Amino acid sequence: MNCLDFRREILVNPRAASEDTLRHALDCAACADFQARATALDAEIAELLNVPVPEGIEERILEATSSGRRDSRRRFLAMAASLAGVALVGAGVLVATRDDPLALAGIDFVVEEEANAILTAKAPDPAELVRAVRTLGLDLPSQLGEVRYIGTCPFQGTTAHHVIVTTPQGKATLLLLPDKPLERRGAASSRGLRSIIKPAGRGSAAVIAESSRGLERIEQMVWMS
Amino acid sequence: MRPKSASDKAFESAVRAHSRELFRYAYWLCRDRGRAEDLVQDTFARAWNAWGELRDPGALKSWLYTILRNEHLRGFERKQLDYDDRELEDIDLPVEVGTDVAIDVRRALLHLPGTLREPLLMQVLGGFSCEEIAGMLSATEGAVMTRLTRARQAMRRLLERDFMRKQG
Repeated sequence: MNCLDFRREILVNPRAASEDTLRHALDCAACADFQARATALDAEIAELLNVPVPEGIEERILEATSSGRRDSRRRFLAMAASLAGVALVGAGVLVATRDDPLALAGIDFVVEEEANAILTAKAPDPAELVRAVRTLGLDLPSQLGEVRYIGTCPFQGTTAHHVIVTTPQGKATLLLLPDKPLERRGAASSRGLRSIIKPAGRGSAAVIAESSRGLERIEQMVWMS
Repeated sequence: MRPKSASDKAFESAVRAHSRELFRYAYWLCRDRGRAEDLVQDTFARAWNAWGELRDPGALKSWLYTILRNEHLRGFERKQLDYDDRELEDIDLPVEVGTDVAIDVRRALLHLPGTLREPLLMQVLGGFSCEEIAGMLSATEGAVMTRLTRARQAMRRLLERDFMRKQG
């Protein structure tokens, strides 16, 4: 097997492990490196594809097929909401939800819409972002981390300035919402992410991060500096 | 119709074994979580109706993938995307991947035409062989190999373009 044949095979499947490829990789450092890089790219793709799966999906499928109904998901949710409402009314109490709905919407945005938002965003205007940051009385200091993406996108009926930064604690998303006034801070935790949303100037801003430590750090730097 | 007896158990086992992976496949086909769950649900509903037609239990997963793909295509007009299976002219090194390129990889993957993204999804997510993918896509094994090669080359080019753009 020569280098060209090896690379053809690796591009079809980087984990190809035929005797010929294994032998060639042992003899050719450049091709072994080629395979390692192609495997690393596949690992990145595999991690990306591993999106969170809605909880209880198996039960809803079994329920739907057992009754022949095709839309049990919505009915299941409606029934659950209805039962929860009955329980609350019956108890005569008003239970505060643990997660703030807007903060939770920030997490849903990151999980479900961020990729499309990036893909469909118009060309970013850094000057517009700077204006929004100033209007909101915030700061985006360089110590925050490496800015990986800026753009604008729709969020909860308004336009958000969408910023993604890589911080020492991992990736974080900031949504600056100049037209979304807010009275108090809200927080949520879901799908392995944490988020806060806080008043900022006449609007608000949300931060969504992977760890509470990262979230606190960003909150302190953006709102306190 | 409610699944029963041995078929009932086999079906329930199939739902528990494959629904999560099928959801991910559906999500990357349509990129809508609600629609993806509906697709998985419709897939299993159709699978149950045709349960007796599955002759080879070893082909269960590829059968489910095929049903799901057909359900997806049924709901969306299939784009006719140009691609060709010409002989490869150049094979370059893939761009080096760091730990912080997930956003770029996502963007590159979403930029791939469906004809290239689909076999890549099936291989990386489903772990299918080229022969199995060919069966699911009604293509030849050679065509699948070419599409996989072109998918990885396109990913590399898109990532390189991002890298060059950032370098200014």
